[in-house]
Amino acid sequence: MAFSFVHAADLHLDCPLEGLGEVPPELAAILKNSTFRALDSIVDLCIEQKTAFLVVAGDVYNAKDKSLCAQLRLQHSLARLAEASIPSYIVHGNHDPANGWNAALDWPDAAHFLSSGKGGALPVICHGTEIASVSGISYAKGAVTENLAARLSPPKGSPFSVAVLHCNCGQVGGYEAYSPCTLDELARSGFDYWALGHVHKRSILHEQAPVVLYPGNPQGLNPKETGPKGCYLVHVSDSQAVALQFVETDAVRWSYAEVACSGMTQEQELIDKAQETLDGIRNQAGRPALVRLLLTGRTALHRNLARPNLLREITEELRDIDHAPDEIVWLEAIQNQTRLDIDLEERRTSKDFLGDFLRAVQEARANSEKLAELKDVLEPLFSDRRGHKYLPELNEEKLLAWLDEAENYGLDALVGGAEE
Amino acid sequence: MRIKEFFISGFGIFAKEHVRELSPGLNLFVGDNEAGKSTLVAFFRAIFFGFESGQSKENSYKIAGAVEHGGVITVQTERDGKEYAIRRAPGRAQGEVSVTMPDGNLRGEDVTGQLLPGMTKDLYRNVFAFSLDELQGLESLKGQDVRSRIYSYGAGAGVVSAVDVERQLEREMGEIFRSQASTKRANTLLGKLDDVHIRMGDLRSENSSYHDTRERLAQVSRDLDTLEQSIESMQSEIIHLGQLERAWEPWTELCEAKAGLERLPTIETFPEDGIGRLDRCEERIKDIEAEQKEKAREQERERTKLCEVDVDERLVEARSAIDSLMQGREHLESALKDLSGLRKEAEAAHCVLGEALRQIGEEWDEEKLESFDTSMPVIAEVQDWRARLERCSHDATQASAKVEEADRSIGESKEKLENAERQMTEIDLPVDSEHIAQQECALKRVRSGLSKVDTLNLEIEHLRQQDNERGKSLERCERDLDQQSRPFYRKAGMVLALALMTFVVLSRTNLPTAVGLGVLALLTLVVGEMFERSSRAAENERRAQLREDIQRLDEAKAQSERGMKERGDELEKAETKLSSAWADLGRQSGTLDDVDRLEADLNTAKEILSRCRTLREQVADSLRRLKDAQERQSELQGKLDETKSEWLGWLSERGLRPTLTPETTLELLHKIEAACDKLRTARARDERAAQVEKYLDEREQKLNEVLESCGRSTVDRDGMSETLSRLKDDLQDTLSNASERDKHQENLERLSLELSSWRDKAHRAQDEFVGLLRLGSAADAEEFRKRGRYYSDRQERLVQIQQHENEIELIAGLGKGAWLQGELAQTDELSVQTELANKKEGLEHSNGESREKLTEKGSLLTTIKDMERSDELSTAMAEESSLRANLEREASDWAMRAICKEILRQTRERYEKEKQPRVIREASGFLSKITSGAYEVMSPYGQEEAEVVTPGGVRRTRLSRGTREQLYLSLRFGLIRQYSSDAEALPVLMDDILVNFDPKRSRAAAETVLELAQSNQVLFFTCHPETADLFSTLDGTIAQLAVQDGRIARVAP
Repeated sequence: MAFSFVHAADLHLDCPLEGLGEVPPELAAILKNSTFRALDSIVDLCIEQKTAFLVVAGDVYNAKDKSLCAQLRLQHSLARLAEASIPSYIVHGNHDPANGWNAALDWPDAAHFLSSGKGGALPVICHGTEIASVSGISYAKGAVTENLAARLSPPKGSPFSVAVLHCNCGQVGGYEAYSPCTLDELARSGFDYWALGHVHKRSILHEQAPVVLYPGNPQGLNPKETGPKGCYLVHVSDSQAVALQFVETDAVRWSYAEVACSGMTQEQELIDKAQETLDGIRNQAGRPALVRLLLTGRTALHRNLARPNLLREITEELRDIDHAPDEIVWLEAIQNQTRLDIDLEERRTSKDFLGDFLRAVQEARANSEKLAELKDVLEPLFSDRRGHKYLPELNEEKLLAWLDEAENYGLDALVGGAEE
Repeated sequence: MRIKEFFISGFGIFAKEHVRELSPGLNLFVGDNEAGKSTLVAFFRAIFFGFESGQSKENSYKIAGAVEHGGVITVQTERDGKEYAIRRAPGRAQGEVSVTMPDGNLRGEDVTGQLLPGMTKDLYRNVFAFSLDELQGLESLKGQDVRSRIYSYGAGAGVVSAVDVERQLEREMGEIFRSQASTKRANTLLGKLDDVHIRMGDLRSENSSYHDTRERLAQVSRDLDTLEQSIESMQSEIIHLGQLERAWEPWTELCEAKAGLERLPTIETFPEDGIGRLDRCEERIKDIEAEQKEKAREQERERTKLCEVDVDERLVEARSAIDSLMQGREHLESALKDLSGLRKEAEAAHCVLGEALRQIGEEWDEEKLESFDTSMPVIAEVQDWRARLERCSHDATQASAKVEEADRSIGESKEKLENAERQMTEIDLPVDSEHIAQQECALKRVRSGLSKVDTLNLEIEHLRQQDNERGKSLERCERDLDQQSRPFYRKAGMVLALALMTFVVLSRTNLPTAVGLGVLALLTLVVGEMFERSSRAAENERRAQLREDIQRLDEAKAQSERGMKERGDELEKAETKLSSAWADLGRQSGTLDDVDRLEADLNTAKEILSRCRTLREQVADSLRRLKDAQERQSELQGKLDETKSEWLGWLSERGLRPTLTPETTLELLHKIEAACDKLRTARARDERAAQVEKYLDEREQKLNEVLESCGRSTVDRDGMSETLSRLKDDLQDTLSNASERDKHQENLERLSLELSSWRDKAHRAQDEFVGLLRLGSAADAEEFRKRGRYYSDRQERLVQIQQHENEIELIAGLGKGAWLQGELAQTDELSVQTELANKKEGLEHSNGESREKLTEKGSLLTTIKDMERSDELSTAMAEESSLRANLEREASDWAMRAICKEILRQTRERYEKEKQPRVIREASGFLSKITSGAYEVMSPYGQEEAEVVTPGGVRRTRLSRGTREQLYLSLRFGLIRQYSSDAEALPVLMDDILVNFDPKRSRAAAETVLELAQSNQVLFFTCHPETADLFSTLDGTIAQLAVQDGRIARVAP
């Protein structure tokens, strides 16, 4: 029997969008509700497409002690699905493990929170016939290093077996190695479809049966999670052939755009180019967008841009929310990576102090030990009781980024008025 | 940069001093102690970098109450030669600086920063403007500022020192974060994050109480249900007890009423209000008897009055007829009076009508008048006829006028034509155009012929003259040809002339005559031969020429003769043609004047002929117009006649005379209309008179009928009015009497009826009285009254019993009265009241408890709703995220700076360690020069001081004061050199720095100062004349200025 279902993951309900400083109240309201609106879109999709069921592969909430508001919104959404006779199958992930606080709410019968136990299968019955089975395991606690996939096996005789799991398949970088497993292992498991969650970037790991994929999160949560976000509408034919359809659900979209400043001599040129970039994003996104602009290139503007308030003023100038809600493009920040209009490599070879400085930076960049030594000077802030608590862990990537900026800063300062 | 001039004001010893034109090289200020040299050094430092503050240990040189403290230094940059005037005046602690730019604009501190880039006050004091004190002071070069510059000048990155950058980084990092601080940006964010975290913890714990709250809500709801049941039971008991309490009073009264009833005799029925009714009945019987007696007396009085009244019944019967006659009395009298007048009016109207008919016409009578139609359509028709006839008549008249006009026009044109024709005959010229054309042609030919004859005559004359001239020329040539053949005379003449010339020459030269003659002969021979030869050649040439001329002239003469002959033939032909042309003109010959005259006549004839043609055309045109006009006139006349005939038809159709025009017809119509009016008037008058007559006859007849019915004699038309008056009076009298009689009769009838009625009433009252006694089962009135009272008491008791029972029923509820009475019979009032009070108290308590539970339930519901709706946690999480983002940004800024600072520090330390700065190298050169190569400078890394070494590298740790000063001076010179190589060379001020140097080194140092003055302007202050002399010895052109008692004067070199 042909049917369809929706595969979503990492809803992170009620998760505030990261990296945003102050935003105007009109936008703040949109941003605050963005994860909920993404959930609404998923539910609307299920109802419109009359899907057989919905699976959510973990991290439904953003935190173990999730807000009551988030739980009620999920309850309301699952109730809507239940009213439309669409069952939902949900597992908990590392962000919302089963041992977290749960408000005593009356959940609809059609909402199934899969346990953290053995991972038994639940049949999906449609018009009195079993069309599929859903297996899955919730995280009992936040950090699960056991390979939970090994616990799952498809039930015998199921027409189409779906496994729902929050895991790191194939050691995806930038994500904790929770419930680590390999693609090969999953491909050999006997399931027809692996509905994975945990990795926020959408990726199809195995397109042929069994299908293994991460749908990514339905709403980008920080400046790095750019581009369209959503879920997969999975069509299963009579012969169990799977067709995948990605559906955008993000209420707000993050964008990262580069503005090449080479050759610019006037701030107005920069403003015009940036405005053009923002307008382009406005026309493409079709929904509120949060944009980070990266200024690059060797330009005469570099010295002005290094002035403390100029970038802030330009940012303010370019921030304009006087648009329809779907056309708001909020300039989240401008990152200045422009350089003085000098040949850095040539200066690096000079025998003077500046050359020594640039060579020292290069040395630190190339030598991880030297780079690590620089952590010591950051201790006053990063090892401060509160700094340690609230700031993210120092890592090499960050250090290298700061080193780039430090090089730029030192270059600007040492060259000083000599270039003027 | 160099100082061009300065103006010092209110500064130490100087009141106002203006020094101009300072040398770009060395300027030597010489003056005694206290003369103001140090003040000047301080002045320059103050103007460039600010006054010394009150707290400074340095002298501020400010004079209280003096002129404005400060001054102006005008500097000129090396880079572009532009001048800037830096003025510092009192203001802020360091004074207010204003810089007059080359373009005249005023600027501030920023410009001094640009003019003295990277320079601080201390650096300037220690390196560029120093006295012996600074030179000797070891510390002055130990400062981090100076020291860092010594090293960082080698950075090759301009004037920005790595130390400056490090400091800037330190400052910026300090603005972002500092341990233990709370107001720095990152610290503030960390504090806020702590707050948000606490708030989030609270909100989360609030959220976790959600389940408990819901549990508590369920418990409270259950408690409330139990309480409500208990309250309901208590309320029903209270209601029952309340019923007993309220029913107690009617119950008591009911019992009393029942007891009273039992005590009274049983009288089941009694007339309602029996006693009252009996009393009222007895009273009424008495009243009726009195009234009966009064009515009988009145009846007797009326009968007497009736017998006394007399009435004429016939007159009364004729009353309506008399009234009718009386109603028309005024009309009657008026008719009697008007009748004769009306008859006269009718006659007069008939006379007027007759007159009107006569005016219209004899054939007109009243019948025709009545039948004739004078309505508006007829009038309109006549008016239309009038218009049509007028239009036709007008058109006919206009046509006649046009005919006349055309006729007149023809006459005029004919007359003009005749005049023209007459004129033509008068001038005796051809009168047809063909003839005129022939004449014109002939005239042209004559004119052409005359012209050609004249031309040919002139040409023949000209040829003849030419022929004559050529004949003369020919003769002349032939004559010339003859003369050419006789040259002897010319030769003789020439020999004679030569002899004469030879004679003159010889007579002057005193030569012998023979010789002279010989020479003469020889000369004559030679010249004669030469002349002969040349003459012969010329003669031949001339002759040939003349022969050519003669031949040419012969040819020309023959040609002229041929021409004359040709012209003569042409002339002959032309004269023949001319004669023929003249013959055409009717003449044999004539002149050009004749031709002109003939031409003028011909033009006149042409003009007249043209006029005649025009006039003939006009006549023809006028004739055409006349014909058209006549046709039109005839047409319109026909139309007019036709219209008139139609008009006559119209008149005869209406029986009107044919002589009438529409105007007279209209007038006639008006008259007919007037006659109709008069006819109508006459008829109306006749009718009126007849009506009056008829009316009077009717009245007379009616009156006489009335008179006859009343037995009275009849009257004629004249006595009608009087008889009617009398009849009316009699009727009134009789009617008055009849009315009185009727009144008495009516009274009698009424009284009789009343008496009968009173008798009936007396019977009815008596019957009622007896009936009451029977109903009351009483024999007499006394017994009736006694029984009535018993019955009344009994009825009252029964009503009371019913009322109380109803009350009890009302309290107990429908159909429960008996049950309640039973309850009441079994209890007593006190126990009911006690039990009710107890129950009420219990209910009050339960209600209180219920209210508390309800409040709690409401509160719990609100809490749950709030929890469900609350987005405080979301808001706090968003705030936390925002704060974290801001913190991360700040931390990134801080970290980047920290890393930059660290790498700068490492680089600088390595640089200091590995590379000897250029400053040191420069200083070493200076020291070597001052010490005549004895020492050099070296700057070991990590030590506070530069060291003196011998050229062999041997360190000299123990230095004399002089050598030390020389080292410091060298270091300063090195710094100055270094600075100048990177930026504008600043002026250097030195205050008596050579005093501790031995003469040899003094001289060497002075030489280095002069060397420095090549690149930097130097202002050297000294109180030692020998120092001044030293410089003068080294360079005689040095500018010297004498400083004395606050005055500065230039000293001649």
